[in-house]
Order: sequence, then C-alpha cells, then structure tokens
Amino acid sequence: MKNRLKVLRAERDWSQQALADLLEVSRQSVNAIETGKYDPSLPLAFRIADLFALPIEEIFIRN
Amino acid sequence: MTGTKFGLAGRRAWIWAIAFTGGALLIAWAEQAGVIAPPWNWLAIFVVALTIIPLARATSNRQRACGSLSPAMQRYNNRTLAWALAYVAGVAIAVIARDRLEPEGPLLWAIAILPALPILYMIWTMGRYLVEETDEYQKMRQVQAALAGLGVLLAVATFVGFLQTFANIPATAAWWAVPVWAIGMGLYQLFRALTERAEVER
Repeated sequence: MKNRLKVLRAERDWSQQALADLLEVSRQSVNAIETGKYDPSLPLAFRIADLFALPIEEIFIRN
Repeated sequence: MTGTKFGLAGRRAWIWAIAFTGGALLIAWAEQAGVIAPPWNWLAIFVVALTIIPLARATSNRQRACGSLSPAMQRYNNRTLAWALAYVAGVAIAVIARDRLEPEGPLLWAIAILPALPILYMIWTMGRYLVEETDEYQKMRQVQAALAGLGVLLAVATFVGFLQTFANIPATAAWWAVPVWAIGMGLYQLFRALTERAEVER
C-alpha cells in the first residue's frame, strides 16, 4: 500500500526519529512504513492519522 | 542516519557473532571427536564465552544506530546476555564435572541437564519479548526471524535424519537443535540487515 507519510513528514520538517518518537515506535518502523515495506495495523494507522489531523485515506492510498 | 554510523556498528556485531558461533561449533566438534583434552577444552569454552559480552554490546549499538532499540529489545538483549553466559557456564561446569568427578546415577543426570536449564530461560525470554514489545514492526521482524530459524532447523533435522536412517551417518546429539535454530535466525537477520542497508534514511 502506498502512503504520503514521507511528504507529510517533510512538510513539517520532521526527521524519521522525530516522527517515531511522536508515534512511540522505532525509527525503523517509520522507515518501513514510508518505503512501503510494511503496512501498519489499523490502530497505528489511526495514530498516524490523528497526528497529522487527516483522514486515513488521505495518508494511505489504495493500490 | 549516515551509512558510516550504520556500517561500522553493524560490521562489528557480525564479526563477534561469527567469532562466537565459529568458536562454539569448533569446541562442540572437538569435544565429540575427542581431539581436545582438559584443561584446553575448559580454556576454549572460557575464551568463547568472553566473546558473548562484546557481541551483546555491539548488537545493542547496532540496533541503536539503526533505530530499532526499543525498551523491550534492550531487556531482551540483557536477558539474552544472561542466558548465553549461563549456558556457557553450564556447559563448562558439566564438562569439568564429567572430566574430574566421573559422576554416576542422579548426579550424572543433574550434571547432564545443567546446560539445558538456561535454554528454558531463553525460550521464556523469546516469549516475554513478544509480550513486552509494543512496536508492531519490530515484533513482526522477531517473529519472522524465529520462523526462519525454525525453517532451517526443520530442514537440517529432516536432512540429517534421513541420512542417519538410510546412509548410516553417525547419530547427532539433540542439543544441536538450539544452535542450528539460532544460526538460522542469525542468518535471516544478517540477510535482512544487508538488504536494508541501502534503504536507511539519507
């Protein structure tokens, strides 16, 4: 599944580590999600959506 | 994250892992073949045991460098260091007791199962990590590594088992199961680390 996480993070000038700290996950997890290697669970996807104050479907894009 | 930071820490961990695994396998082979006698076998076990400490530290450093050292992983590393040292100590005590005391009966049984006890703690450690880890991606990676190790163990056991049945190769001690599983797990993690090196944040 594609996502706009890297773009959204860049818009806020956050590093992967900063985003990881906000989400309380590892930087490696953020990297895996951004690069599409890992699709987050629904609870984590909601946490990401809440953090960016966007609906999930504006962050994660169906293939 | 720069490649330099990641590369140096990573390489150091794998050098210690290879040193420990190679040393342990060499001692196991020498013991079975009867080509190493006291006190050299005790000394060899002690030297190999010492490599566990830098291996554990280098592994934590590498995980910290690539952003995967969660609190649960740190506890897992500490517990792994404890059981690994206890395992080597158990093997050393069993070998020394066998060589010096020539035990029989219940004492022999107690000495024989001594190295197995830390392995029970290792199994608990693995389960505890999966309970304590809140990072779902890290948890998935650990489960994948454990399954890869299990796959290697099943393949090797089946292969060796049929060779024993049909080709009459010598019997293999069942305690090889854990080292083979751990090597399989380590090889999987090495494979993942190598394939992901180019994908770290620039």
